[in-house]
Formats: sequence, C-alpha cells, structure tokens
Amino acid sequence: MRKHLISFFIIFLVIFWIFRDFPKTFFQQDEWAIFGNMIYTKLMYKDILGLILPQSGLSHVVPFTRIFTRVVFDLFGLNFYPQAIVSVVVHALNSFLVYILAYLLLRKWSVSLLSAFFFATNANTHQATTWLATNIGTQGCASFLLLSLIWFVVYLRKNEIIYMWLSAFSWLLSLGFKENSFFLLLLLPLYYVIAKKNNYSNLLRDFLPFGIIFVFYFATRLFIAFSAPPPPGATAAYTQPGLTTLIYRMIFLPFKSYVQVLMPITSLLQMSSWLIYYAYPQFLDNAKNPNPYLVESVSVDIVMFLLTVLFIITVYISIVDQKIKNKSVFDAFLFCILYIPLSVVLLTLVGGKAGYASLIEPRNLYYPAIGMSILLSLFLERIFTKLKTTVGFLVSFIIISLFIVYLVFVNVGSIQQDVKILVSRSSMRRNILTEIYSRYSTLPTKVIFFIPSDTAYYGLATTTLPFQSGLGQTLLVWYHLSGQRFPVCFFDYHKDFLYEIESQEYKECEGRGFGYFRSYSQLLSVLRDNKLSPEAVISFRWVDKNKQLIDETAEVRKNLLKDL
Amino acid sequence: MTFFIYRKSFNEFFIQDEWQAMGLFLYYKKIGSLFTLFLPSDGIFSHFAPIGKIFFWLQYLFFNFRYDLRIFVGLITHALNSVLLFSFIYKWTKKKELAFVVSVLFVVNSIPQQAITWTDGGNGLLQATTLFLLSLHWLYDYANFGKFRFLLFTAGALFFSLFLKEDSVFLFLGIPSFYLIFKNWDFKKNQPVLLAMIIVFIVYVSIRLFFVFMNLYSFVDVIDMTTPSIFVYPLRVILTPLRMLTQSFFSELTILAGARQLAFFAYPQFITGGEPNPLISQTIIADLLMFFGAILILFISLISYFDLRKHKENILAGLILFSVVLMVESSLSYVLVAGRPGFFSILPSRYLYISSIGSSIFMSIILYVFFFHLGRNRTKFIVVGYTLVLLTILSVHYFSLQKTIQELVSVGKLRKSFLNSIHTKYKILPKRVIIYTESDKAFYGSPAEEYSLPVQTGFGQMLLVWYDSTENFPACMFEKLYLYERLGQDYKECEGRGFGYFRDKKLLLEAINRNNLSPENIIGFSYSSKTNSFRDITQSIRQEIRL
Repeated sequence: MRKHLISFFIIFLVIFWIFRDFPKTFFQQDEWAIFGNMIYTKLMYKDILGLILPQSGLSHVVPFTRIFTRVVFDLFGLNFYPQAIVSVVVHALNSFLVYILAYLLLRKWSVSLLSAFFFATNANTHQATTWLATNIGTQGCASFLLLSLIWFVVYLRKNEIIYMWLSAFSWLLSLGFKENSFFLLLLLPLYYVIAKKNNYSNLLRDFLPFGIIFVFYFATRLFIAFSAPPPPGATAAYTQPGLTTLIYRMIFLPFKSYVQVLMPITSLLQMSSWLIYYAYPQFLDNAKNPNPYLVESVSVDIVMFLLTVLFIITVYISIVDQKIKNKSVFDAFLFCILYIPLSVVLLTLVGGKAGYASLIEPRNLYYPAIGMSILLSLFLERIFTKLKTTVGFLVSFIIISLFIVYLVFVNVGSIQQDVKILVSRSSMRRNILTEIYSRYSTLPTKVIFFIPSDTAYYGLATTTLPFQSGLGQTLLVWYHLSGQRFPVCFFDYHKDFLYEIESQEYKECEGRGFGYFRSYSQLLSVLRDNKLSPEAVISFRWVDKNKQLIDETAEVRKNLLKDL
Repeated sequence: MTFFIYRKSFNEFFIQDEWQAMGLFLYYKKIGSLFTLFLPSDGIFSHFAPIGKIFFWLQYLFFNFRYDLRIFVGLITHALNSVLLFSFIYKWTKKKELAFVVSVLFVVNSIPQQAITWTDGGNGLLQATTLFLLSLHWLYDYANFGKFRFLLFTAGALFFSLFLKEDSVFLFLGIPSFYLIFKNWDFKKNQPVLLAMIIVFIVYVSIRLFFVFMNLYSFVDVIDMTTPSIFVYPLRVILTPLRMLTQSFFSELTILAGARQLAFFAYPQFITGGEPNPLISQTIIADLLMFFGAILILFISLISYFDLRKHKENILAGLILFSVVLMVESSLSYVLVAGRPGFFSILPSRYLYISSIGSSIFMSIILYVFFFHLGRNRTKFIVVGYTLVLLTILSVHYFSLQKTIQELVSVGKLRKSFLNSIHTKYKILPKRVIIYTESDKAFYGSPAEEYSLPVQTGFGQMLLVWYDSTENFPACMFEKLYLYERLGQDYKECEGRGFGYFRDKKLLLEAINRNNLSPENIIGFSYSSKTNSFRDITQSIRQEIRL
C-alpha cells in the first residue's frame, strides 16, 4: 500500500510541475461558445432535462459533461485559475488510474509507474487537459473508462459478478461524458476470450451486465435521435462518406494510431517533410519548402504506416517469448495491442471534411494513450530484461534510461513549449478584454463595439483581433458574466450570434441592442438603418506591432456625427 | 512457348535508345576509335557495360536494321533463362511439376515485358540474368558439394554479368544471402562466399575507379546523371524494395488505377475537375498503395514460411524465403539510379525482370499453400483448384502481353513507315539537305504547341542513322548526339555535307536564309494524326520557299 501512496504523490508532483504554468493561460475558443450556451440553458430551462438533453437528435448525448460543465460554470464563471487546477487534478487522477490498471495487468510497480509517467507526459494529448472547452468530457470519459477497465480486470481475477456490474456501470458513466468509450463493447469480450484461454462458453452469461446497460443506452439514444430536432449548422459537416472510404478508414486509421499516439505530432510532421524533401523533390517550392498539403496528408500517412509496421514488429519480437514463459505479460501485451486501435475506431465515422484528416485530433488521442503507455513500459521492461542477460546490466541500463529520458523530455519539453505559447496569447487576450471592460464597465442599452485591427491572424484574409472565435460573442459573454445582463435571445445556440471569427453584426431584442464591427462602412449603415446615435458606439483600435489597444471612442463618435 | 507468346513482337521496330547507340557506333567507327565506345560513360555512377555493348555492336554488324532478328536473340535468351530457372528449381526441390509451373509463370509474366519486347532495354540484362541463373546453379552445387570450383564459377559469373549490365550488382549481397538460405543459416560456412564476394567487389570497384581517375570515358550521357544528396540513398534503400515487391505482382496500370481510386476515397482534397492530380496520385499516393501491398506480401510470406516449416516442408519454406529475398535485394541495384529517374515511384518494366523470377516462385508456392489448406488432403480438389487459378493468372498475363505487343507493333509500323516513305521517295539525298516534317499534334507530354511526329527520340538523328548506309555521312554528323533530342531541330554543315531537320517552318526558313540553301535542298513530309497518313509535301514546301 505504501508504494502505491508514494506512486500517487510522485504522479501528482510530476504533473503539477509539468503543468505549473497552465493556470496562467486563459479561455481559448470554444469555451466562449460553451459559456454562451450555459447562459442560454440557464435562462431558458429551469429543469435538469433542459440542460442535459442534446440540442439536436444527431449530436452528442453527453449528460454528465453538460452537468459538470454547468457546475463548474456556476461555481467559477470567468475565473480561469480554479478551472485549470481542476483539470490538472483530474489528469493526475487519470494517470494514477493508469498506474492501477497497469499494476493489475502486470503486477510490477516500476513498470506501472512508468506507464503512468508516459500517460501523464504525452505531448500529443495535453489538449485534453489544457483546453478547457473539452477537458470535462474527455477527462471524465477517460476516468470512468479506466475505472471500467480496472473493475473488469478485477472481475477476471476474482470472478465475482459484482465487479462486472461495476465495470458496466462505469462504462455507462463514461459514455455519459463522451461516446469515445463505446469501443469497450468490443475490446472487453476479446480480452475476456484471451484471458480465459479461448474458453468463451460463459461469455454471454458473464457479459449480461454490459448487455443490459447497452440495451438501455441504445434505447435512450434511439429515443433522442427520433425526438430531438435535426442538427443545426451546415449539413456538410455531418455528411458520411461512401462505404469504400469507411472501410479504408476502419482499417488504416486504427492501424496508424499506434505511432500517432507514440510520437509527438511535430516529430511526425518533421519526418513527413523530410520524406518529401528526399523522396519527392518535385513537390518542393522554389525555396525548397515541401508542399504543406502533402506533408500533412499522404506523406505523413506513409511515415505513420511504415513506423507502425516497424513498431509492431519490434514490440512483438521483444515480447513473443512471454507467450510461453509468462502468459499474463503476453496477455497484457495483447490487451494493449487490441486496445489502441479499437479506441479510435469510432473516429472513422467523423463526417464531412474533418473525416479525411490524416492526423487524429490531439484530444482524441487521450484514450489510445492509455494503452500505449502500458505497452511502451512493458516493451522497455522486456528489452531491459533481455539485455541484462546478454550485454550486461550497465549497458542496458544506460540504453533504457536514455530512451526514457528522450521520450519523457521530448514530450515534457513539447508540453511546456505549447503552454508557454498559450500563456503569451492568453495574457494578450485577457488584457484586451480587461482594458475594454475597465474603460466601459457600464454599457448603454443599445451598444455597438467598433474595434478594427491592422493585422490578419490564423491564416485569415481579413484583419481581426488575436482571438480564435468572434470577439463580439466573447464581449457579450464577458459583459454578461460581469454583471451587464443581456436577454436570452442573444445567446440562442442555434443562431450562433457573433461567434464566427470574422462575424460583425448588430441585433436588437427584448429591448436591448448589441453589435460588433470592424468595418467602418458597415457600422455606418447599421447606425443609419437602426436610427442609432454615435453615442451607442464604443471604439478601440488594435495595433499588433505594439500589442496595444487604443481607445478611439471620442474620435470615432465625432467622425460618425459628420458622416451620418 | 516463349516464341508462341511473343510471336507478334517480330513485327516491332526500334523504340528509343537504339538510335542513340547506333549513332554512337557510327561516330566512333567513322573516327576510327571504336574502342572508346566500350569505355564507361561520364560520371561515377554512369553505366559501364562493355560486354553488353559488344553484344549490341555484333547485332548491329550482322542484323543492321533487322529488328526481328534482335527480337529473336532476346527470345532465345529469355527461353534459355526459363530453362535454367526450371533446372535450378528442380535441382533444389526435386519437384518437376513445381519447377515447370515456376518457369511457365516466368515465361508468361507480363510485368517485365520491356526486357524482352524492347531490344535495347533487354540487351545485356537478359544475358546478365543468364549468368545470374548460372551462378545460382553453381552456388547451390557449392553449398551441397563444397567444391571450390563451383564458388569460383559463381564469382566469375557475377563478375562478367556486371559488365553486361549493372542490374546484377545486388548479387554482392544476394549471393551470400542465398548461400545462407541454401545452408540453413549456417553463418560459419558462409565465410568463403563472403570472401569471394569481397574480392570480386574490390576488383570491380577498382576497375571502375581506374576509369574515373584516368578520366577515361566514352561520351557525356544525354540522360540526367546528377547525383542527389547522400541522405536520399538510405531512404531509397527502404522505399525501393517496398515498391519492387508490389510491382513484382501488379502491373503499372493496375497500380495507377488503384492509386487513382485511393485518391478518391482518402484524399479528395487533391481532386480537381473530377480527376485526381496525376502528379500526386501517380507518385506519392501510388507509393502509399505500393507500401500497403508490400507489407501485405511480406505478411503472407511470413505466414506461409512458418506454416511450411510447421508441416516439415523445409525446402518450400526455403524457396519462399529465397523468392522474397531475391525480389527485395534485386531492387537495391536501382537505388543508385542517378538524376530524375531515381525519384520515379513506378519502376520501369525491365527493372523487374530479375525480380520476376522471385515473384514466379512466390506465386507458385503461395498458391500451393493456399490450396493445400483449403483442400485438406483432397488431392483432386488441390490439383483442380491450383490448375484453375494458375490458368487464370497465366491468361491475364498472356492477354496483357498481347495487348502491349500489339500497341508496340502499331507504333513501330508507323515509325518504320515514316523512314521507309522518305527513303523510298528520296533514295539519294542532295549534298546539303534539310528534311522538314509537319504534324498536327504534340506527343509524349510535349508542350501543346510543340507538334512533332510520334517518335521517342529526335527524328533528325533517326534519319541520319537510317540513311547512313547509302549516304555515308561524315563523322561530324554524329558528333555530340546531333539531333538526338526528341524535339531537336537544327541544320549543320561539315566536311562538305549539310544535314538538317526541322518541325517548325519559321525555323526552317531562317536556316535556309542563313545558309543560302536553295528550295531544291528541302524535302518535306506531312503527318496527320487523324488519318495516320504521311504525305510528301516537298513540291508545295519548295514552292512556298520560292515565294
């Protein structure tokens, strides 16, 4: 027990050290949409059903994510710091659960601790912790997914049905956070057959709890699908590809997931660039830069495919002798080998253009990272054991240590670099909002923000402020949560008022008016159309070079008086 | 069987590089330095195949423009290789049926057809393969009887094959690895073989370096011989065998069609106007597809290998291993290909000739393993199933070959008709002559405005070579591969003779004015791609010039 407690503290300390700068960052993008949505549901629905039901039949059904988001929203509002701390704590808890799972599978303290480290420090998945728009769903799902796996392994050892029920119930809870854990329905029976040495005569009986939970879940989803309204927004985003594409994805996407979760995405893209550079010089531009569209699609697919083949062969060779010598180790290996690809199978159903992306969204790698962490530590342990007998302890120790140091430091370095970038962007965004609010803490009943910029960001053609979503909607939420109450019509989820990054618009409802513009001519015409006075306008100008927001309200109002 | 399958190829005609080779022979013969021709061409990774060149020279001497006789030599060699393959497999397995199936598959295999249907592509390669197959025989004898003379013969065959064509250079690695397979991985007994290979390697490299250091070379190659960055080679060592494995089983057309489909369902961002960008789908996407194929082939071979071992079929397991090693290692000869061709994803068909030995063995055994398991000791079922599938494979290859040969024959006939038409009408040329041809179409990926005849090398140089037996042009007309470039057009006077070729009327008129040529010096022909006709327009072009 003492060693488990020590592990718990080590994991927490390491994670808090790695993410120490994260609380200095700020909300990034979708958080503002979620805040708007929370305000909307809070004002519209008084019962819990209004909060947890999806707003369309075909979208996600994630009641627990919705409830926890609401709790966090009600407790902390715009206070970023405690939300960041909660996110890091949950990540640390999940890492500890990985430790427990690995320990149950392998019964080796050092290997289990190493698994937890690999999971905690995986650079590809840090978005699950550092992006607060998705952390509740992603981390919550992972927590209960891990619990489900843990109870399942306990069941296999003790053969008591209560553990199977606990596993099935945890699975249901994880599905309530995010549907990614659906794959357990396939993985657990497969692992059951492996662990029971191909004796699956009692499979149906033993999986009854899962069967009941599944029927309940499926019936609920069906009911919602037929009773809720159709999805909002462009239908192209939901379009499913042809059968051939789906079959291809179902084979290739899980296959390449091994390497994608193992190696930092930046390293994969670097190798992909080298591949173009050295094997396909026809795709270099005049400055010898590889075609970025190829680097991030076919080329990176080739890199991932070849590395996956190499990885599987290497791991298999290192572990194959355990098939006879130590079956539980070999079973754990099979568990990981099955777990990783199955955990991403559901992503093959991603619709629209996003479904064709070669690289899996980082937050979705949080789940395969569980299996990969255990597999990797198991692999290193096998190499360590093999080398110990042939080359000598010292050499093997140095090689393995270097490998671990490389993996951990490359990942930790990458996380800290990303957090550093987030910190710098966040302080800029927070300063902009604070500056506007401090100067105009009370808004007129009908107000329009006019804030032009001199720079285009994030590959856009038009000049905007350095925000990843519409500044109008951000200001609306910011002011609302700071006490300037706006009516519910401004937050209608289906209409996405001012949320698009380039949007500029004015709207009046329930006696209030709110607008945001970057174009002076559009501002003028809106003022004319709505018979608004220049006094309704609050204006700033963003100068990127000095990272400065200049208050130009008086000057703009004067100009508007002249031009109106 | 070989002659029956390739019977129509007797009607083919010279395609491309033969014209360059014949031009060079004429040049060196006329300057009285034929020996120079047998030196390596310029560049450290350039070709050096003196025996291959002697072979070609003899054919030119005895056959002249008789393409059918050259095809005959090629077919004889291909048939001989098939017999050698049959006897090698029989020697190893003592299974006549298997040896027969392997050699039939090798004979009919349409994938490396270029080695047989294109005499310049196969020249040297076919004979180098003969020596390779002989070296396999001797290596097997050495492995079994341990007599030193067999090792000596093996090394000698390798050494001479390298001077026929460098495609066999992989054998420095191949022979020791084949020996290991013959000897069941007994590394200790491999030392004499390794030593022999090292000696041959040192001698061969020394000979090549001798020419480089002495600055002895025959001519500057017209093809791109630029060497890429050093980092390119390790990458090619990985990628080329993977490409080779898939291409050994699937034709170029099948792979390109597959790559096109893959672009549709996996990379729609590269589709414009309803079609995938060919620069992408035929290179990097085709590669991805070939890598999938290669891993699948390796996976199948591994499973079959262990399955055969499990059933105590150690010889067949060894053959499977041998076939895969042969396909993989034979690709290594092409890692050093210089210039742009080194970056091509689809390997030229002739590069697959040696690897097709491996693919024939592989297919024969995999089919056997498949039906053995499916049939479960039902001999009749195994025999019938095996035969039916085999016949299907053979039919696919046979019909594919007939289609390719037919295309080559029709193109060859057309080209020959161009030369014959001009030569029949104008048996004797004026001392100063320009031959002008006009066309209504651009061919072989030329810019749309570059109309030319459907030929793959400069038509001017073809005319020079074709007419030389009657005109006896001075050597200077063949110097620096004058007019060999496919779209080349120029006029030159030297040693009292003038010869030019033009496609562009404006350039023709400039040349006439610049060189004070009279209209009588001009011969003109016009090609119509719609009717496939080749008309004499000499009178009208002369009239036009006079005006």
